[in-house]
Amino acid sequence: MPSSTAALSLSAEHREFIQGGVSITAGSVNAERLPSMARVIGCAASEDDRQVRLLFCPVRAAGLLTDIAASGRVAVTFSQPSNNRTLQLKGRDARVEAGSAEDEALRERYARAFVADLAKLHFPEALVRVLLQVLAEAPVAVVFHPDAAYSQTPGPGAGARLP
Amino acid sequence: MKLTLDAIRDCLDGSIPGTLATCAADGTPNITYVSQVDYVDSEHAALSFQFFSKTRENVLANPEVRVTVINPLSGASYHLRLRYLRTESEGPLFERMKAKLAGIASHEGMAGVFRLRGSDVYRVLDIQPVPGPVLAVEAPRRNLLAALRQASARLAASGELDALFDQALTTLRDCFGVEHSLLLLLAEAGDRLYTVASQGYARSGVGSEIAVGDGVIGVAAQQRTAICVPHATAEYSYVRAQREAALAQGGGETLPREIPFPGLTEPHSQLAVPIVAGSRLLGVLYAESPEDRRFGYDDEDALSAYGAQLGTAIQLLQQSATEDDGEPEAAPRCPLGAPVQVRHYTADDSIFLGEDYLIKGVAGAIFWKLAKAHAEGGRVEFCNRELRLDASLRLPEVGDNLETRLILLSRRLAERCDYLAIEKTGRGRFRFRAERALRLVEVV
Repeated sequence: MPSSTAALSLSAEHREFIQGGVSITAGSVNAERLPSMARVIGCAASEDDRQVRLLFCPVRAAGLLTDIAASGRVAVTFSQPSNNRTLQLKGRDARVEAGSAEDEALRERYARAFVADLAKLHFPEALVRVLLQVLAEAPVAVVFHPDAAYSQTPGPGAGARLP
Repeated sequence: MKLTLDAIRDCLDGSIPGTLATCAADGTPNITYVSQVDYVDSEHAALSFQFFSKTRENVLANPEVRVTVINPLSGASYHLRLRYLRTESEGPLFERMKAKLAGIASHEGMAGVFRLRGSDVYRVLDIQPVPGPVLAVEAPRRNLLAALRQASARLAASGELDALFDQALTTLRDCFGVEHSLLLLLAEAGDRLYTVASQGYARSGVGSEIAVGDGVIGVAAQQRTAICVPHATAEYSYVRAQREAALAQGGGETLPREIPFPGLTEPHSQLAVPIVAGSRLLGVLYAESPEDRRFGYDDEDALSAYGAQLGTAIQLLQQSATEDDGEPEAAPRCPLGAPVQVRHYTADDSIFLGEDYLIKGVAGAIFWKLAKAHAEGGRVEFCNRELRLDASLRLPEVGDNLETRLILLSRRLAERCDYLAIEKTGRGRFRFRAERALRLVEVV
């Protein structure tokens, strides 16, 4: 692992934000540098704020999971639909893991929070549940240590790298 | 079967932002949201370029990207593989996206933050549905192809230009369910549009003008493309702009020479489509609604096709209306009521009946000519040909709007007074009826 992948420590504010009812999309790339992407259906930060765990439907995110397993690269964007506040985390040590029993509770907790934020914009729960569906026995997880964070909230500071 | 972009364009209505994945030169992925993924044609999409960012840098370094779009009703998601081609920062596509983005921005409380720098045009290489069941979508309120067929048949049945103008808007209401609409035609000089018919408003607003390039209607004329705004936005509100302009002028000091625009104070959806006949722009058909997102891509297509049919119908009737016959003849004066002062301002050909503004421009000049002939020689009967031959009216030689101007003038007179009227007496002939004596005052 190159030394430049020194993991960031998430601030309390960012920790709360990425575990809330925000829209989450993850991306990676294949060997031809063609990007892949999929919706994240649950997110948790580790106790020490250095590792992030993302949940996916293994069927709907198949292409992305293949690229992450091969490259270890991941970019994840978190955005609050009701106010456009947006944060992107990137990592180079991502790996795919089987989901655990705890992941099911994480998935449902996230779904409820996301449904609540989108209800403010009048999107019905049934629609949000379609986006978060799992076409398998259980979700799979991707874990990584973020090594860069960017504010992407629309406006003059968009794209700024955060310390 | 390979999916094409038109099959999934309901996903591109802007109600759910797209997600864009790009790759940097060093292989680092990047994910960002994109306010607008716009339908260009079955093989091209345009993405709104709003900020200089990592995404911009990546797209220029590595043009193959992936975008995810979501149907806002069914929840169906699609991954699109796209290749960047070019950025347009002016022209029909840019103006169409700029108007739509203004609506999205004010809806999201981002007015002033979201600004379109360019329309990034991409070729669609591949569309893959994300697997899984989706929600059933309610049937649309009407089948627009069936509505278009019915509307075409009704237009074809109109035999008079005057009737066609009203028919065009009642058909819009009956066949397409559009309650609020305006029909505007391009003025001779090509710089302004003037209202000849309206529907669904307390005041008709006939004669009100919009500059080419101004707002949804003016931009549709300038770019000859459909312009649609899906939400209420101050940036594209005519009524608000007029009110602010009136306040800024202080009001009261000069006589008003503008007929107020009749539209909704705060439309939540606006759609303007150009009316063309061959390569000639004739005017604009404007529809609006108090509902958000009332007009989608299918409405744009249906009304654009309807606008083209209307253009052909208007041109045909304009041509047949110019076939004059016979010579004008003097007729005895009508019985007269109390005299009324008629003022003509030579600077802009504006006409005031007493203190009331009537009309200006070409229609004002026509009125002045009729009023003078009537006051000086008792003329009542007129024909189009003599107006067309009158150099002082400055009518263009080719494709003039004389018939339309007479319709406009006759509608304004009908609205503003009960003692003056223009009545059609035959093909290319009309009567100027005055039931009060006219005291003419020329103001230089």
